Amino acid sequence: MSAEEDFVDPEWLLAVVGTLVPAQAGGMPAASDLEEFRELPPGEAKWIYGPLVALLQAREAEEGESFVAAETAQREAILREIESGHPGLIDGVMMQTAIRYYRSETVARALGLEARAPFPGGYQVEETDWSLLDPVREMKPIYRE
Amino acid sequence: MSRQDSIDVLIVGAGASGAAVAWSLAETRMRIVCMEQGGWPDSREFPTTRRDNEMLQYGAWSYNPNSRGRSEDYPINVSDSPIAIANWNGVGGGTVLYAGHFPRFHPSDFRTRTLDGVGEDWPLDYARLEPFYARNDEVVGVAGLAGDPAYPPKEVQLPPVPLGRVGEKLASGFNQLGWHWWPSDSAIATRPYGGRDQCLNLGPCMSGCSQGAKSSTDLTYWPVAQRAGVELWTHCRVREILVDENDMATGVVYFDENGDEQRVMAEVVILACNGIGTPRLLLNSKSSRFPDGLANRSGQVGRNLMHHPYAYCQGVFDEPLDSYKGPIGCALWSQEFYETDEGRGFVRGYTLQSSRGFGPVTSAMMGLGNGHVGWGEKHHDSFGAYFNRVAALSAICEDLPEPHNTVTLDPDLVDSDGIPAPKVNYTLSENSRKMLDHGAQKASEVLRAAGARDVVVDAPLRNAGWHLLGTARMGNDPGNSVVNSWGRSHDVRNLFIVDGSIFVTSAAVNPTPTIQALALYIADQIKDRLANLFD
Repeated sequence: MSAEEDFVDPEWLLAVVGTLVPAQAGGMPAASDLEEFRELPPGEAKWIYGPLVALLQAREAEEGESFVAAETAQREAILREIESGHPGLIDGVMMQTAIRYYRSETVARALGLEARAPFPGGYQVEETDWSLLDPVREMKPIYRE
Repeated sequence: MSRQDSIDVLIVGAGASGAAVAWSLAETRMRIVCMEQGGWPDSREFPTTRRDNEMLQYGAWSYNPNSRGRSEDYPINVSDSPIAIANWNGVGGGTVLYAGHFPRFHPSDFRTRTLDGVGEDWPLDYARLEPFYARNDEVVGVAGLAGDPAYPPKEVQLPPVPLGRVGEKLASGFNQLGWHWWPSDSAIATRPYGGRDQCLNLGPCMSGCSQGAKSSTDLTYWPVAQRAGVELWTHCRVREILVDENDMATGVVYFDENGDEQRVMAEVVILACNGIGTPRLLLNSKSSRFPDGLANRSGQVGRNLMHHPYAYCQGVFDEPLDSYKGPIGCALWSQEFYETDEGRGFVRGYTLQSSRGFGPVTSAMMGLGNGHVGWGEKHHDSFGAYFNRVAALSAICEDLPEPHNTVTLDPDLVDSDGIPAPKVNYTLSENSRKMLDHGAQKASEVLRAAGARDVVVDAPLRNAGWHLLGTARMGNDPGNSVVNSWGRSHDVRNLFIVDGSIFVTSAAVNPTPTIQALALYIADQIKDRLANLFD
């Protein structure tokens, strides 16, 4: 993304989010597989990912090593290198990525959660065995008058 | 009756205290009007009606008014405070977004000067307020268990909120250490009560209860008060209280729901705007008779702001705890460290209050913030080891009154009607810092004893200005207090204050039961003294 461009190349964006939150064997999808990122509004994409993608593109232009084409482990190494030179940048991008990732219905299901609103179904919390309180019931009053 | 007809009692604010005082005064058959700058909450809009609900708690349903930014909210400058202010402007006030944790003060809380040489004694005591605590509990419907050794005997109306795995873990930690704990008194209907259905364990009570099981005053006091004839004018924001040459309040200037400036006359004015809104309104009501703000000849309006500094301590456990299920702030409390022990290096004390965990979005945000969740290849393993595996204890520390902790008017900031907005200047005292450290240490001991493999401490918790106290305090001496022992202004004999601003000290518990007990007590005083109320 050059300074003049008003959007983030989706290929770069998906490479970034797929590195930050990759797929996990056993069911957790990669962020790059989710609609939430594939259809991220351009303004939001630019606000969140624009500065990082600009750095990655500048690095690629300088070193000739492709970020998008690299394996996930190599991409992670590149992001960690950037993180060391730009403290806070990856943290901010990851925070926004995680918020969008965990809002996904697909991810909720993968976590084993019911993909529904809490209300009106609610949740069951088992009744308490109040014999737990027995040692406290034996205490003398601890308040002052 | 027209809005221009004379009003007998004008209440400003429809939250915890405004609702209680309106409910109590309704039996007088006077014309009682309450003006509220916000509207009625609509439970169909509360976040838990939506699957994707977590982020709404940080925006439209945040308890931080600066984050919500609705037209009925007023901005608050907190740039000179380590604690940000929480409130909700609408019918029900802060009770719409509170956790429902409902502890009373201890008897000793009313006598801190006599017992510990700090703060001031209240001009009333626990015994005086006890019948009003009990009356309020009946209306609210308190879930809990009688017999807590931390309190004088008291009754509850409903069975306690179940502890769940989180609470049972914490209870086991307290038991191992031999320390006090007890199921929280909670303003939550664990069985149908007073027309409200029972709790569904939705989780985030602090963004509104979609089930209506939490006792907010839009569901408890207000329907009864309105049926008894009290008028509730929503979206009416009071700019100024008017006063005559005899130092009597005559009415108010307000902006109506269309944003038009209006004025009404009233025989009695009662302020119920909380510990920020009340001093703001008094300071905005300057006149030739009161150049420093109404009812402020003592210079105490806006001083002595007290919060409860929180040390939030989160334990991370190996096993799943179902921690996002159940009322987030209501399971158990400990008052092992409530009363003064000078050997600890500070005076007064704190309550340890449990809280449950969060949904996946908030868990990810917290985990990334505290280092428990990473990114890249380790992300899923680290998230899996954190989400649904947390239980927390907060030390709720007693804050002492200090005159330099203030609410003033910001020179630039205004609300959507152009009314000057409040500015908070607040610093933590050395006593509070020591208490926070002690609380964090003891909470960590409990969490470790319960099996936590790690503990994360956040103290003082920034977004924890839920309790707004002391800025128009009560007392017998007009030279260092704003209202007398029954809530009447020393300077303006038909002006009353019933909210948390009249607190003399803060105790170490959530203040709503005491705010409402005081409001009911003051209402009784008004009724008992009607024949000579202004003498």
